[in-house]
Amino acid sequence: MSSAVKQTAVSASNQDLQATQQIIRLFEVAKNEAEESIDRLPGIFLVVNRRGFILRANDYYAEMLKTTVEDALFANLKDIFAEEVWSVFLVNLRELEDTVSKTGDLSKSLAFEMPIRAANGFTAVYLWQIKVFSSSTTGEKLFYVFGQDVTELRVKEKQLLEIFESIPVGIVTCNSKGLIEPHYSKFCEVLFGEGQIAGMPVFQRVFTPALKFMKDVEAKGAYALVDCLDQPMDVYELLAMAFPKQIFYPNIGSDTEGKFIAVSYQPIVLSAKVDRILIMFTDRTAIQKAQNETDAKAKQEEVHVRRILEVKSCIAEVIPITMSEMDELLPQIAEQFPNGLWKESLNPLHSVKGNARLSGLKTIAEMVHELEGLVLKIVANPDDVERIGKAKELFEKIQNEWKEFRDLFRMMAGELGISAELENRTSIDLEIVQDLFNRYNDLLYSADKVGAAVLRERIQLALESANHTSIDFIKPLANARAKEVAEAYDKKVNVVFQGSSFKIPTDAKSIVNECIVHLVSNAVAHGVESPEVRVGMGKPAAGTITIKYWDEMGFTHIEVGDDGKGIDVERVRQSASKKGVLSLEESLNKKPEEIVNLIFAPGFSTAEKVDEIAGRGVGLSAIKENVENHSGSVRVVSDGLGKGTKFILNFDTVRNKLSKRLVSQLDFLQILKDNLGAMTNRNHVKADLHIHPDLVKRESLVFCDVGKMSLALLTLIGTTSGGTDVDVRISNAGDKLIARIEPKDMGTANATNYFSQFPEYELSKRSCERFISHHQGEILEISKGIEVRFGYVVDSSRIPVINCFLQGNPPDPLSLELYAKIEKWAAGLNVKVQKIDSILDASFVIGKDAGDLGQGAISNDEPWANVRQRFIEAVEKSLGINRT
Amino acid sequence: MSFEISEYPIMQQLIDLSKDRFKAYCRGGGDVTSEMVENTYGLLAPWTSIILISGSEYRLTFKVHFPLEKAKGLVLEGEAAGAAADPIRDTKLRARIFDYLKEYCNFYGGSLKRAFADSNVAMGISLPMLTRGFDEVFFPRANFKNTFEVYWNLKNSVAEFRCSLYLEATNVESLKALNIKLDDSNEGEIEFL
Repeated sequence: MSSAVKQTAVSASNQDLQATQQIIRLFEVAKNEAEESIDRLPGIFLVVNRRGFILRANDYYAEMLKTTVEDALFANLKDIFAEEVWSVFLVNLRELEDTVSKTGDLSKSLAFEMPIRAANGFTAVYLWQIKVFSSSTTGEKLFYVFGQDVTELRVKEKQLLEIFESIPVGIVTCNSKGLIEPHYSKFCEVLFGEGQIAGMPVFQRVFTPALKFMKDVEAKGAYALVDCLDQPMDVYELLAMAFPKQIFYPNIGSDTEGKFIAVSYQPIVLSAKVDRILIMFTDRTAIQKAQNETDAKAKQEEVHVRRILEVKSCIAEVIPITMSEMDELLPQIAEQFPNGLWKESLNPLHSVKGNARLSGLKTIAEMVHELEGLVLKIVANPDDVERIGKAKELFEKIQNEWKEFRDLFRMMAGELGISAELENRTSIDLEIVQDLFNRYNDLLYSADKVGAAVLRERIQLALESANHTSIDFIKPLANARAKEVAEAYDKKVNVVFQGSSFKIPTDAKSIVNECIVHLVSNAVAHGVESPEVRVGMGKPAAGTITIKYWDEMGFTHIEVGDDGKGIDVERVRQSASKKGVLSLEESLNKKPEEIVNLIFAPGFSTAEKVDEIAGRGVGLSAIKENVENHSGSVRVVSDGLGKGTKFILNFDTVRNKLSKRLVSQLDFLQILKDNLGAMTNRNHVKADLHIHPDLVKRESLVFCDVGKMSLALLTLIGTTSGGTDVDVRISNAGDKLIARIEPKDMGTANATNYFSQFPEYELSKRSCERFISHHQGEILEISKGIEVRFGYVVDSSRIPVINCFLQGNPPDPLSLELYAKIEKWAAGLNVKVQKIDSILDASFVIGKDAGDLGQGAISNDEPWANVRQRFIEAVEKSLGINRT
Repeated sequence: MSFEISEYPIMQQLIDLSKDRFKAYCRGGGDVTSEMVENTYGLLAPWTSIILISGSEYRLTFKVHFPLEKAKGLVLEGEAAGAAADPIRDTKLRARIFDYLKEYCNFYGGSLKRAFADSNVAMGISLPMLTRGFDEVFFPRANFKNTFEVYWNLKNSVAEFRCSLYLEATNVESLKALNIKLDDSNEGEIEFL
């Protein structure tokens, strides 16, 4: 090789070397840049050996420890950890080392969070990721350690979590197994009332308690919630349509208290399948309650409007009667129900229904009809607790409904044209009477006795006018009822009235009203035939209901007749026998006129169909009972098939008033309390009044005629005039109320003399006689003088009662012996004799010296024949029996 | 492999060469102490300057392992080498240190090549390089019986660093007999701008 060639070869070799040197430098620069990149990483980068000694650290780590990367070399990583944390870190290193050793997979890594102690003393949370590799030099396992400060991130996460947990919305995620995932909003626990709900099946925790309040489709939707997990979106969307949108989540142990929770669903989709479902719950309880209240209010308003419309459609003339009836009947039923008097309540219930229907209160009529059905079943099975509960509940609703209607009637009285009828008559009357009495009082103390007499008559008229009403009120009632029932039964009827107008006590209106309603209904429904049948029989298509009425000596007579099919006596006989009203044998022994009157027996009805108008056998029985309770009688007359039926009613309207007056003990006492303020107890009230003595005897009249009015009147008089003291005594004798008004501290004879000087005495006497004639069976004795003693009989048996006072304490043996004899004798006469403690309430006073007391006294030494004779006379007289 | 250095005079010569070059060329090199050290962690310092001296029979890798802080006295004098000098952040100072110690390796390699040549052993040397001390863990080791590795510390009044020598010999017996003649001429201190 020539030197030139050699020189060239050396030169080329040098060039190669330089080129290599250049490329190595390039790599060196690149390597250094890469290293510096690692140094500048925004997190910890370390290489450590398995004991934690640092073989490489970056700037971040050095700065964090306030050192240099050079000083960090060979330091131990454990220095930055708490001892127990470092132990865990080492375990993680070993675990990864083992995993990689076993698998040979160097790509394995491990990530975990651990706190370190930074040089500034604060603890910081780092997310650590470690990877393992082998040292080429030693073969030792070394670890890359990446650490990222997540303290701030975790703080923010925590803040977000706190916000998430505290927002008033329940948020849970349900994983693919249908379990609630760990992070859920705390409000869920408020909603579902339980501590940790993580890990619980979402269906069990959220939906199970609410299932029984869900509709079927919602319940199925709740079940489908878990089914749609891991399903494609189209399946989810289909099933999601049935998911419950709102649930009622009950409180533990309650079916009524709980929360209304709105539920919404958001699927979390991975790889086109529903991986999880985010469920949001909103407490809508307050909103729902407000909504419910709004709905209830709207419903209430709707009901109110319905009531108004119902009231507007009512027959105005009938409303006052209905009100009066309802106010009397409903309290009566209210007393019967708690005492289990179901059977007894049927009649008043029927009357309530009739009144409601008559006036047009359809709602109440329907409710009462339903109640009647319940009560009938309760009568058949008195132990039916469930029905009893329902009946009581329904009755309470009826009472409330009536209260609403009653208020409406009053509010709309002007519009209905019934203002005058509904006004408190007593207060108006009192005003009138007060004026009149003031003037009368003046006249009494003046010389103008004639003027006083005239004025007294005017007072009498005023009182009568104020408390009486025209019988004409039955006309609109009867017309309305006839029309209504005729429409219901597809019949035609005309109502004819025959009679002159007269007045009856206002209190008697209710019973008359009730009778008219029932009898007209009965006549149209059961008496009058259908137009076709009538025409076939040669009768006019329209039936005629004839109502006759007249007044005679305080008795009101009413006949309700029809020209219909009459009463089939044989059918009544068979029906009575079948229903057990009487045996077949008994029925065969009865006369036809007696048989037809069996239709008044309770539960008797020949109707095959029961409807709201008739058929349960309650109506006529109720009529009879009520009429008799009002001192009246009712009977039916039928001249045979096809010849119509006639119901004949007789009311002793005056006695009716007295009876009502006397039995109304509580009312009476209440009035006393209100007016006199002197009630000492419920059973015995003594009221001392200052009253002009001249009015006392008339008071007897007033007392009888105007009932409750009398006490108000007494109060009025007592407070407006001075004069002789008068005792008003109201006392309770068993189930009877005894009232007496008499001059105080004045013997009978003296009183007689005293009052005889006044011309009103004679009038009073006549009035008393009239009164007595109308109250046969109730007044057992009229004492001499101005006293009118009432030995009244007001119990249901209506047996005359004679009250005897035995003198002496204890009574002497002879008196007791005599009393026993009277008692025994009276029993044979069906007269009740009873001992009483007060001489004031006695019809007879028995005792050694009683003879001195006058006609009402029996002396022990009086021959028995005399005593017996006197009793007989007294009783016969009281019963209106005139032997002559 | 572990070995008795007394059996291989050449190994001590190579260590002495490093000490000698330190004395000859480095600032404050007059009072150089040397001691053998262990390589506990597989690496010795944050930085490493390295040079390869390679021939057909022997291949040697000489490395200087140093932290910047302890090497800065090589390029700075007096107060300038005090605590205020921060070669970690001062990239220019760092570059001077890197160049200095790369040049030291180069002197070492050049001296060794000449010594081998004088002993009729042809050797070539590489360019000196500087790398991270951590890179040491990636340097492969031939797991042969004819590999020798030694670590020692060199220290004088201004600087301290560690050296390592990795030697592979094709013939261990000839290595035992190898005795090179080191040039003791003083070429003067390494000067850098």
